[in-house]
Amino acid sequence: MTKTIGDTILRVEDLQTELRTKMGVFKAVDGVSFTLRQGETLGIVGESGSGKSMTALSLLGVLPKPAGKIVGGRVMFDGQDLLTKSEQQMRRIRGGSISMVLQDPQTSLNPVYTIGSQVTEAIALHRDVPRRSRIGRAIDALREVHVAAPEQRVKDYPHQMSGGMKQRVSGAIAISCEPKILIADEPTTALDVTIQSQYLRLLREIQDRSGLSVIFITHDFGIVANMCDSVAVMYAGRVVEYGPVRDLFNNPRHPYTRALLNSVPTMDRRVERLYSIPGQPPALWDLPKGCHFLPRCPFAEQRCETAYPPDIAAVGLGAGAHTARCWKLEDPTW
Amino acid sequence: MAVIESAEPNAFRRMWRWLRGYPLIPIFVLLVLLVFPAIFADVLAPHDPTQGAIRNRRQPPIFFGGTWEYPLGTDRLGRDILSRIMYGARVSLSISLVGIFVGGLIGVTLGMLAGYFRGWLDAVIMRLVEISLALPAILLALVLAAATGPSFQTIIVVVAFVLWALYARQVRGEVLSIRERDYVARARVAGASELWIMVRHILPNVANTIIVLATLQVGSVIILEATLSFLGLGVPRPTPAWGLMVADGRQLIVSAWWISFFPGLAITLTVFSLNLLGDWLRDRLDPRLAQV
Repeated sequence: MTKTIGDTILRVEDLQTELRTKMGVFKAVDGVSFTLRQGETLGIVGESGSGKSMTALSLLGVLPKPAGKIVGGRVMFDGQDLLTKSEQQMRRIRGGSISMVLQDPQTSLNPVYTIGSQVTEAIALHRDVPRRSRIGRAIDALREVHVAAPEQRVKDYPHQMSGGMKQRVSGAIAISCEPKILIADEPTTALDVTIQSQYLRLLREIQDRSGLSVIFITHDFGIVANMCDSVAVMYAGRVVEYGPVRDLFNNPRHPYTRALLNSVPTMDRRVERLYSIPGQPPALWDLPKGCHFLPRCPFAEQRCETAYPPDIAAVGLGAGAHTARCWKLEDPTW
Repeated sequence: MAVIESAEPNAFRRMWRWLRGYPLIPIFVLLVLLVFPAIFADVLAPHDPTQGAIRNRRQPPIFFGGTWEYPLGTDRLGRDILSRIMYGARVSLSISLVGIFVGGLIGVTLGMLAGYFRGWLDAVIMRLVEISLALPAILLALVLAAATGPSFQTIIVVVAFVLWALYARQVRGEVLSIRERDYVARARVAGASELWIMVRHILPNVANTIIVLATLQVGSVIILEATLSFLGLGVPRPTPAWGLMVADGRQLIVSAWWISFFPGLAITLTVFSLNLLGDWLRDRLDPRLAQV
């Protein structure tokens, strides 16, 4: 696979998103930072409720209303901070320069419209294409995601298609306006394994062709290893470890990352019982003092209780650095 | 041992179910009774509905001693009841259509806004809905009619006021669930505006509900209109309205039963057929049954 990675196109700095719920006000995303370069695939991994999806929704400014609110940080895209843009300006960016594929293909298409009209909808929202040639663009977009006989398929309704096909149509909608960044929120979770690998191959193919950058939200380390150039591991709303994929897999620094990697079944190790992390992720409205992973961490010490650890570089500095937020990294022997 | 009640539905329910299987029957009844006469009353009606000859008053219907000249008899002013029922259909139909349209438009709009935006807007609109549902329609009509005098417009206002809350409540409920669907989220991340999402993605998905509700309501609006007219709060005399005709005949019910009976029968059959049709439509348009 020859993939060229270019300049930084998205820089997220100290993003903070609050959620107001019956449980109280808490930070669903707390100081998340990462960069995305052109053509790069960034994996965001974490358990349910770790803030992966909230991060993605914050980038696009489509948090659930009225519960969600961005309270701090910057999202630099194209030299501008997206968080300062008006709703109208953001609308142009959503689906235009940054688009998103959602998790469940079964419900992400409107049952009352044909496939064709749903693909052309995105084009109509963003590109000044005359009505008549939009359908041609839609057919092209469907062909790009390998929908067979797109000329006929544009007349079909969603219920006439399989799950994998629908997910590819969603993909076609997402890339129909040639975005620079695609956010994929667990796009393969609802698909079975063979369709999943087909879909991932397709995604890579599109990426090779167009130089698209992808933010891949998943909880599947297999997909991360396959698809991503760098990884951010999230826990309780924070990025606990961030670095190039190879580095992170070969040399995980944070106890949480280690535990996660340990709980992935492998072909070359034979185990009676797969490792699982004891306990449960903390409730965001009731976080432990100090390190949030403390109650589940096998290496917990006194200092972990005093304060949340800062970002500590494990390898290198600046772009391509591998960092983790654990006090243990201060020890030379860790 | 206790007597076990039969699980068999009673005769009425059985008949209802049987009729529901044949939607053409209510449609036919409606066409013959309501739509057709309403549109072609000028051509079909054998007599002028407002002019009668006193000497022909209280003619019984045919088969009860009457003549083909007045098939359903005449009222106490000698006006032809058949002609008046035909013109009355026009009144009933136009009031229910316009009233439901106005009430539906207001109700659907407010219901969509409430369900989509939630928050304080939802709270305000739903409290208005509750207030509106708590007010008796008749009382409201009384006040309005007293203030402005009974007229076509007054009835429309009353009908719209009675109906909008039902639409608002129903539509809000549907929108609450539809707004959480992934295709709404997808449209949002594709850069669609709130208005675009509401009109293009949510409205078509609540359309079935609206259609069924509207169909079921034509019947109740006809009853409402008849009630208002019966009480003298509806369309003013001498416009032939079914409720008014029933009211006109009530003193003579013993001696000239047909004056009240035939307009009453028209109301009954129309409303019955409309409910049948609405029920059938509801089954047919139920998205849970339609797709899959």
